[in-house]
Amino acid sequence: MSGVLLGPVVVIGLGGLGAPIAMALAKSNIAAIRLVDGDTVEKSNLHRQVLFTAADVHAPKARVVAEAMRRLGFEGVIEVAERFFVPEEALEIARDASMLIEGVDNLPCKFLVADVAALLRVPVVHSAAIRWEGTVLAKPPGGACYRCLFEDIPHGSEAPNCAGEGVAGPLVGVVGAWAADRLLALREGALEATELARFDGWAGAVRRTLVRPRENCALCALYAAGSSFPIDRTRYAPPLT
Amino acid sequence: MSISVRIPTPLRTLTAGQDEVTAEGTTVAEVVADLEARFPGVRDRLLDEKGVRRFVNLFLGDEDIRFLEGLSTSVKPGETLTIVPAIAGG
Repeated sequence: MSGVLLGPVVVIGLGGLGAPIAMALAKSNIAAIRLVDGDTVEKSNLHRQVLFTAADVHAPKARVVAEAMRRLGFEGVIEVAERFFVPEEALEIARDASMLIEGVDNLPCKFLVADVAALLRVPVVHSAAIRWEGTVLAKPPGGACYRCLFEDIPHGSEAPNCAGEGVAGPLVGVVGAWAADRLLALREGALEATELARFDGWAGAVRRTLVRPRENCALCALYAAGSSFPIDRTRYAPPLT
Repeated sequence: MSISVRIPTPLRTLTAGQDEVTAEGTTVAEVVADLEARFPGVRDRLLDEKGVRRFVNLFLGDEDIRFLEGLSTSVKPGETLTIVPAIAGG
């Protein structure tokens, strides 16, 4: 593969999506990877988080995924960050990243990842799955961002996640593998514009769309100006009703 | 005129589980109004007082209606309107 990247690929969220992402990247020649998740394995995770077994229950996910990647033959550097990607720590966790990829289970964290990617000016892949529906948004430098598409954090009751809605186990494998594929495509410079893939696991359909930057996107305006902005917790609180 | 509307998983509780429905209208706004008549509650999940909710996207074919004429965008028979909400999970 072309394009030597100096910093690690930072994988944020090592659950149902993070596991197939890690499995796919374990077979790549990425030089360094940082695995970020402060959670531990729970029994309820096992049906869809395919890198974990009953023996891993209560173990830190980041550590278990690192061990699994080694077993799969990953030869690069693995850094384990048993931490949550929260506003107070996000920039430090991602400090030297060459790329970000996330499969986190809450919307505020997705917006946080988008903002950190903009601040660090690195490509980012967002992935999500709920019930039979999945999305992957792959953003090259200068492409439309997550806030171009979704603007800001929805109210809690308006924001479904897999904890409340459930998710089909096989779907996360498909979506996670696709997210890893898009990361490698971004790494090769194969994407000139942001790409949104939408998966319907029930109908067995996938649709790809190129996403254009939104004219009044505040994050893209900051990106274009090369401006910085504070990453503080208030930015990731749901708007007041 | 009738078009197809793809319903995302989080909204299928309002469409009796249907992943695709048909709706009538000559603009996106009329299609949404027809959806609301058939499936009460859909409109509020898609629109607020300012228009399309900020964490929801409506695609006509492969084009985001924001880059067309928004809710005033004309629809043609046989086109497909896809609802893409922000989701988190995995």
